[in-house]
Amino acid sequence: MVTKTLAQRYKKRTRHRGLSGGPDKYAGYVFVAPWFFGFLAFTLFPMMMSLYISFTNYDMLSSPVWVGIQNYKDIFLNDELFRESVRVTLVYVLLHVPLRLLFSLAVAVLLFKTGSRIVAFYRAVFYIPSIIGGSVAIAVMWRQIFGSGGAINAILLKLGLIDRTIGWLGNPDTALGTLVILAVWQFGSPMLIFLAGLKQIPESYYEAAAIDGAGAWRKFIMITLPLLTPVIFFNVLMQIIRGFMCFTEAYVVTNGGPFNKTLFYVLYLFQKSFSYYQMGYGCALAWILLIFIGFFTVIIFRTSNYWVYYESEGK
Amino acid sequence: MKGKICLVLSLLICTTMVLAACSGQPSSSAGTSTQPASGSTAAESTAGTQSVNRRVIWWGSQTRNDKTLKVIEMYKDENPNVTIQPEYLGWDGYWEKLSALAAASSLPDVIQQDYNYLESYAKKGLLLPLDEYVKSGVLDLSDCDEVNIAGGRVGDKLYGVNLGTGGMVLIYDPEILSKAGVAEPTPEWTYDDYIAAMLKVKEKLNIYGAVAFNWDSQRGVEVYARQYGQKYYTADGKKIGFEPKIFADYYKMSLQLVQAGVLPSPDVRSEIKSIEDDFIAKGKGAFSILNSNQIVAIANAAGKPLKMALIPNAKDQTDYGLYMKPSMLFSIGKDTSSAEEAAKFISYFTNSIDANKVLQAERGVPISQKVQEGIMDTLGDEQKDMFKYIQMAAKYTSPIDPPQPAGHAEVVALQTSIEQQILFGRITPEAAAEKFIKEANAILAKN
Repeated sequence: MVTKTLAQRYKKRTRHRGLSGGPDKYAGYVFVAPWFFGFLAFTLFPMMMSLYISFTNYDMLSSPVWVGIQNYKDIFLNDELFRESVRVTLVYVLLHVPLRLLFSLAVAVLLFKTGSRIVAFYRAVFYIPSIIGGSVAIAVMWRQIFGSGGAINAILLKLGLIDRTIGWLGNPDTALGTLVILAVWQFGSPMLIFLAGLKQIPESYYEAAAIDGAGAWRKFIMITLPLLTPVIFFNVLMQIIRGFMCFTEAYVVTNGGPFNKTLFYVLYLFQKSFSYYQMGYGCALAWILLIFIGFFTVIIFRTSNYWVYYESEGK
Repeated sequence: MKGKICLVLSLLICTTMVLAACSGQPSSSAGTSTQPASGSTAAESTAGTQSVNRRVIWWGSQTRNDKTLKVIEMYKDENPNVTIQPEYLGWDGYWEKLSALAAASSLPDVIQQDYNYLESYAKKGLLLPLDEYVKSGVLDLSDCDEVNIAGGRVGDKLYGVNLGTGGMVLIYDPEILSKAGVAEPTPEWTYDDYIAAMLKVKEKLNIYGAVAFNWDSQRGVEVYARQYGQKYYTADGKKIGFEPKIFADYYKMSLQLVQAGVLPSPDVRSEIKSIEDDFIAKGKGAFSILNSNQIVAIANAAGKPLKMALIPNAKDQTDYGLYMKPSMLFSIGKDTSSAEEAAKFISYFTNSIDANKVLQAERGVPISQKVQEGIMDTLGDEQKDMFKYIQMAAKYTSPIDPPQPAGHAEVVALQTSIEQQILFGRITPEAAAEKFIKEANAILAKN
């Protein structure tokens, strides 16, 4: 009875406020306006332009020439490099996402168990690669490390594991591997997110399990993992999207690698647009990538109902 | 207390980031602005003299960059009301940057151009014709031979000023050759002699013979085709102009050398990006086929005298493969606000003896007679050799082919990719030749 009246009274009050108009009604729009104009100018408009250009031949030096769906036809029917780049990108994503997640989860669990100030130091240190990782500087350094005269060869030679320097970057069998390692090396950010997820699991569950005689492994599988599935879901989704859009590393470290073994999709797009002066083709590639990623996202969301457990929804 | 420290730290970090962001200049990663901060210039500007801001862009290795920057300084000393913003980067990525600038309609005033790209840029109206400035004398080409100016013409208009004539050359290290007991190359050398020499060097000294059969594989195949009277592209630029056998034979030679350990395998080769990394520059190689103007940079890097010889002949060749071409040119971009100023700068570059004393013919043999004579005494031995080489080699050349058609960049990438497959042993040279021609024709058919 009491709550109902309170609710009614609250409703009346807010309605009253709304009716009288005043600045509050428009305050929201004003605050959003700067972002909105930026969105229009720097995101929406270029996207629409690129959609238009994808139906043209545009060499950037003269005006676009309308060609209809010719670019899309060429991509799907005539372009071997397109299929190669899709294959390379898929392999990259399928390799580095599970590896990165496993690594970051393992380290997160380790760092979570031992709570002390030194843990905070390690957390920061492990996160640093993630912050600087996507940069050109790191990619250049990576090229140095895996190069013929680089650290990896020096260390492996010293340890006696190889008997002559291997050109990791130029060898078709190992070039993609160096990029996968670069991605896994940046495990810091998913690690932090896992740490946050781990913190949210109530201690009481573990205590109850301990009373029932569960060992550490049991606890992990039965309690930690299921309750972490929302975090895993988030990480998987973000990393798959990020993996599809990978460009800097591919461009700087191997530039498509030995005969296109590391020709990432976005790198191919860049080459088509800027190196070969076929911007229309590149824009078509970009929109196809958008559809790919959207498709994967939908699949992951749909299947998430089967494996992600949201405690708040009590499913 | 803790809160205060945090506040100070975060303010410090913010300030540093702001400063770092603001100090970034719109030039390349290695570029530094040469905006003069001297009091006299400021006084002149305030006195009402219009300050003219020019942008010059070029590609080059460190040697060229240093020399060109110095010449820009010298030009500014003579013309105090001009500010020049240099932009420079390596060959890799130069054309991508230029095309991005073209699309944004902000092409620099003076652009270093290449014979291969000049035509497409000129045809698309991105460069200004220079004829009126030549006629009015602002761009002084009176001391230059027409044969050297011709390379900059597209149709009947002049779009680029030749910065230095050059041709392909076989550079070798005489010390290494004598240590290995190999005779120095002669104009009669064939590819067989070249291969035999490298094999002997490897046998005696256990070092690589060279970085590659030819630094520029595309030009290597082009020259080889020309030696048999064929061209890389057909005249209309829609197909590959040579037979599969040319491609297959060329790569059979390369493959044989890679398998013998005389040439590095493709994974090692792909890491060598600038001529300063060439084995010969590190004292660990015998030969290098490059452009004649690159002798300066590579001899500098090697720190010892290197010699130049004619490129090898092909067995039973029907024609000379070699040709002379403008190593690079200066053009005026269409977005310039004062083409006359730009033309003046190019004229200075071409005609000033002091400037060319600094440049040391690093871009090739200067086209102005007066400059050639004026700098001869100051030239190092390598440059003198280069001049002599160009004079000598002129007898062994056939006319240059027309500029490359659109799609050339993609064809080069295709050739590189197929070359790596051949040298990794994934495909035979014969099969590769068929594949290359088929796929290259598909690329060119889009023209």
